[in-house]
Amino acid sequence: MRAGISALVQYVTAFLLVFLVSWHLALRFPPVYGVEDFPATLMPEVLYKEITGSWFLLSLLLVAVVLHGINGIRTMLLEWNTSRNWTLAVNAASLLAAIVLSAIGIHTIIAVAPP
Amino acid sequence: MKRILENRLGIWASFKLMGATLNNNPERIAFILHRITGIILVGFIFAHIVSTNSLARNGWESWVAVEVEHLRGINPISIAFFIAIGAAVYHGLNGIRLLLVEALALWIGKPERPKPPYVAPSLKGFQRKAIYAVFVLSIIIWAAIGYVMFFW
Repeated sequence: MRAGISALVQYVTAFLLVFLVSWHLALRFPPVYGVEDFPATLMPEVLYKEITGSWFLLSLLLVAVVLHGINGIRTMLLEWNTSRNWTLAVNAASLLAAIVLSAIGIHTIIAVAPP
Repeated sequence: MKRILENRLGIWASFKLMGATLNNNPERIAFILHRITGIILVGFIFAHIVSTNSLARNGWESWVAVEVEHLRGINPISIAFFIAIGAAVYHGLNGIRLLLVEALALWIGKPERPKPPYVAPSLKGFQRKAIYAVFVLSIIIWAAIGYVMFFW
């Protein structure tokens, strides 16, 4: 991936993540669901409604966080060594990690059963 | 001749605090913290994606017993979450600053000819205050989240 495209991916996903992570954390604030404490916001009835109702935002958060995180680590690893083989190995491992993690996350969202 | 020059630090330069206070440069500290919190977050988020998948594989009973109950009170799992959320707060706030500084070129002052004592011109604008604001806000928001997690 060209450095300019890599930086653009980081900026666009960072911009999205500012809002999506704030939303994700804000939903764990007890008054949002009128429950007594933070772990109660993770109870099955609350969480199932959240996952099925906000599947698109959760999927967007998943893809953005995977791209941002893996691209960030990839950039650090490419600073370590600039050889062609290392670059190829890091790029391949990054692509594989992104696909696997996105698949696991999407599976969580679509395969969750009603409580 | 040595194959690698002594001052070629490679990736480790990202984590060396040496130089962090040179020329009273908080941007260097902000950069190191951004990298450290980024690495913490990648580790946490990957574990989070994999562990929340138990919801789809093992059902709700296992979810409540393993995930939810471990977040009640002060224990290693809830402390790990607290550290990761602190990292996310700092990484996010500093990320907003970086978006404004790098993508929109705000707060970095005007270019000028370098002269002693060589204070970075980019730190003469509002950016220095913005970096301190990120440090202070991160601690305040992290403390507030800690209150919600452990004492609500």
